[in-house]
Amino acid sequence: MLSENNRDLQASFFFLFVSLLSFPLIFSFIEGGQMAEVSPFFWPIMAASLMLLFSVVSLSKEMKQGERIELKGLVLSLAASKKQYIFLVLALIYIQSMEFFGFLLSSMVSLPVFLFYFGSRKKGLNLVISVVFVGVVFYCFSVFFKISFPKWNL
Amino acid sequence: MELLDVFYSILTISNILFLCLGVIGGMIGGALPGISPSMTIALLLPMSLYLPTSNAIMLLIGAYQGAMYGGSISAILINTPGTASAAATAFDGYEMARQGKTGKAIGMSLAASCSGGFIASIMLIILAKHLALVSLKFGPAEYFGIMLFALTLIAGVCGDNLLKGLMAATLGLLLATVGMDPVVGTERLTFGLFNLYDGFSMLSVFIGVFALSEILVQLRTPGKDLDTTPEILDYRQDRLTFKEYWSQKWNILISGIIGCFIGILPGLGGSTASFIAYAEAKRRSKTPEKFGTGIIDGVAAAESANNGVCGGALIPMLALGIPGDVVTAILIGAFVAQGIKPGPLLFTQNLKDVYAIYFGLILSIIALFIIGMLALRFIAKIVSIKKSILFPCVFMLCVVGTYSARGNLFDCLMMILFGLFGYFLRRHKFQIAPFIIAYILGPEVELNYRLALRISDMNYLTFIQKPISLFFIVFTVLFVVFSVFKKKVFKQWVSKGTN
Amino acid sequence: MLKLKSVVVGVVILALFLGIGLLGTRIEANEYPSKPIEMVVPYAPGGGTHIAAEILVPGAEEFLGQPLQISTKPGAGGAIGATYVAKSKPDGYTLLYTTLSLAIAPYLGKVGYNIDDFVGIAQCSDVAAVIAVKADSPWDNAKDIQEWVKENPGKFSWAHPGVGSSLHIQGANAFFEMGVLKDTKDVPFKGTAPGVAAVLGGHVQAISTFLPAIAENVKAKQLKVIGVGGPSRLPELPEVKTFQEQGYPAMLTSWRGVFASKNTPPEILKKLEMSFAQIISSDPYKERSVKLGEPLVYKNMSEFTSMLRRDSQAMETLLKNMGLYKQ
Repeated sequence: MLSENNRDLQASFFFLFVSLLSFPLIFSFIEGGQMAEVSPFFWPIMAASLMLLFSVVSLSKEMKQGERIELKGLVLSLAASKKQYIFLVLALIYIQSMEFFGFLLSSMVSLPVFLFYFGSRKKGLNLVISVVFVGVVFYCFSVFFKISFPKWNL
Repeated sequence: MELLDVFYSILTISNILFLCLGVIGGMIGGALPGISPSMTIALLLPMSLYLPTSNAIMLLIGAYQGAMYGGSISAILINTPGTASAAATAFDGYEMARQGKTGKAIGMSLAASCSGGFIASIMLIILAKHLALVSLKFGPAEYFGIMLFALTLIAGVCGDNLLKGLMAATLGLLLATVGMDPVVGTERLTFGLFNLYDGFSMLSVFIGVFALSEILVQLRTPGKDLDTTPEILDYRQDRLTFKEYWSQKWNILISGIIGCFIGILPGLGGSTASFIAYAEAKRRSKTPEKFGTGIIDGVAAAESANNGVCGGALIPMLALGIPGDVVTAILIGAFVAQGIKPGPLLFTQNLKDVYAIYFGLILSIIALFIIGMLALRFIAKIVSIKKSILFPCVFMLCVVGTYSARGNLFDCLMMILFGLFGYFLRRHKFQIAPFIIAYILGPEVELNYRLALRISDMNYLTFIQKPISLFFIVFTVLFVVFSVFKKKVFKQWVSKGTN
Repeated sequence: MLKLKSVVVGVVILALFLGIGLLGTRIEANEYPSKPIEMVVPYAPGGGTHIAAEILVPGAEEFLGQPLQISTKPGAGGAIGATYVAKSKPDGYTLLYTTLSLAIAPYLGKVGYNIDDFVGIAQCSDVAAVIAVKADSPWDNAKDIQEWVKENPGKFSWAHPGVGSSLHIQGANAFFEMGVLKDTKDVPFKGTAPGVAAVLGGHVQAISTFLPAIAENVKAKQLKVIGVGGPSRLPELPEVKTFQEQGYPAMLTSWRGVFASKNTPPEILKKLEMSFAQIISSDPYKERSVKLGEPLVYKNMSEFTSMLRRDSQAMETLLKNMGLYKQ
């Protein structure tokens, strides 16, 4: 079991990493303006610097309390979220598929999959819920709120 | 007396009918994630053009109040703020629902919404012209002062682990800079993706960090357990008692006033108001560490403030013709089409219409309360749906909602990313509040800072030369010093006590 | 036994899904239009452009034969919606309703379309921007401002609703013609409302806006308009001179109109041009546009398209001078 504090340590490292990474990103992906009194760089640099400061302070506090980096713990903690990763991959597939198959078809096929994944084992019920729910949502949003959904596009 | 004449003419069957229709429509639109209050009003606008004036006023004002309340419904039930202004409600509202106090949460949300709306309406009726003039005194330097103070309230929201909160907040600040630079128009951190030209869709961030992260967290429970019908407390136990409501009276009053005041300032709306009220309530509270764990104060503050915005935003709209927020901007169009011309001459030329709007506001609150109470029992039943069915459907709704805002699937992909991010934040026991508040308030601070400097030709002293701005900056500094001092004194007192 | 049954059930259901999915498409009939036409508005729902597009809808069913479905795809100053239309099938079922921003956006950054991807179907309106100042300020016309700014460079600030917005460009155009653009400071607010508040509160000196937003304030003598951009004076303010009359030819106006993809078959383009011409010249439409405050200005396909190209070239020069030009 990972201790609370090791999680904090990991988190501090994460923020440290992000803040360090953001500096090169900021310099390559922000364009300065010609007529800027206060440069567009100012705010992001300030935010990144503060993040750096806070993460270093937090890291040193954690280290002082005797925590060391446990690589194995880190890997274990990341791996513990397998179920979540699979779900996210499924979600990405679903969203991408809408571009090709259109909203209705993608949703009516994907929702039963998600229902099953979340534990609902009654396949018949799943299918009925999918069709009804997606149909109602589609009708509501496209007729009342005039949202145009992705269409079949092959 | 003209006032009474207008009152009697307002109380017609058709007016009441359209009022209720508006409230219901607004509630539904507000509750659906992705459908913002402005979208809901925008959709009712064409309908209102064909209606007689008083019906149109009733419909639109009812929808406005309904939508500001409606967002809290989905925030509390499924941790998906239906509107940006309900995000602060989700912090504590959803926790309350998880503890089985759904009825209390929704009840408090309704009561606070109505109270906040009422307070703002009174302020509107009594002080409209004066408050409008106050709002004009706020230019970029003054906005900067207020937003800076609001931003430092984050420190109060961070709870025990200040450093964690600050790290999350700075990340929020950084992520908020993605998009077109608001002053110069160049691209910042868009990586050449022109879908990011306007930054992340606010819904991607909100829905991702709140709802999707919750769904991911729920996946830690095995499927078997998710597939069981949850127990619901007896309705009689799980409702808001008058005592609980009354215990929040000062909170609601102050939050409503905050909401009204933020509404007065053009460009700031429900989300800003509810976050400030939430953070302020936490700062005032005797038990600030309970915020975020399901304390009723959080819900009361957020909801009172966001309905307070309704009344507040109408003030500059009616008195000056300047809309106080996005929805009132649309309302101006609707009113103009009806022949009501909001502006400085409105009070002298069309006083009757003004009275009609006032009465519409008050009546809309009454209608909201009644309809809300009736809907409450029905709404709370949603908690009794099996989680294995509820969450996939919520996920689908999230996708649809995120897509609806800008009509592109890229936002949905971003939502997934933010969901993952929110999940890891929660796993590492970070609070979401500092991140979200910094994300929303940060850009305001930056924009106004830069505009103030641009206007004053890089004269940094401008912040000190303008009295209102000076006031807020000094207040902020004092506040920071005082809180640090308070913490140090408190620690010394605790250690003395244990010795 | 059980397995076969579930397979059959599965196939039937899959067929059902495919059928429903295909509902999104309809088999193309020979006659255009045979299904509803999508018109994309690349701005936020409820905004001015959206509402202006909506008033075309009632006439569409009558003159076009099929309903017009408005969808909003806001973002990137109109570029997101424009790109969507540019990339969609050029079959005449996806149209674009947009403003001058179509010509502006490509010069501000990378967008997913070229001006040449579009052909104008019909211009619906044309709105002139005005420059307004507080009523008690010492300037009564453009010349007063010009002289003051020359004596006090860097102290004159004017508000507009956002970088790259047509009001930004139109305002800058006016100051550019006055020769003082570089000595003024443009202040981008989040929309028109905070800008109007800023002028009234004395935080900025002037604002570039459309008249409806400040009409009531002008009537109440809180603000005064010192010039109108464009070829003619505003009917609501007959005594206010245009910039051109004052000697500064600032002629840029913000038009709104319908566009289609360039590769759409010519017969369909012709049909669209004719139908929209009918819609716009119909009395109900004229009434609605008056109520909305949209000055009705119509141009047909060739005129509108050439105006688009012309304005686009003018943009290049202007934006270079404003320091906003990219590429």
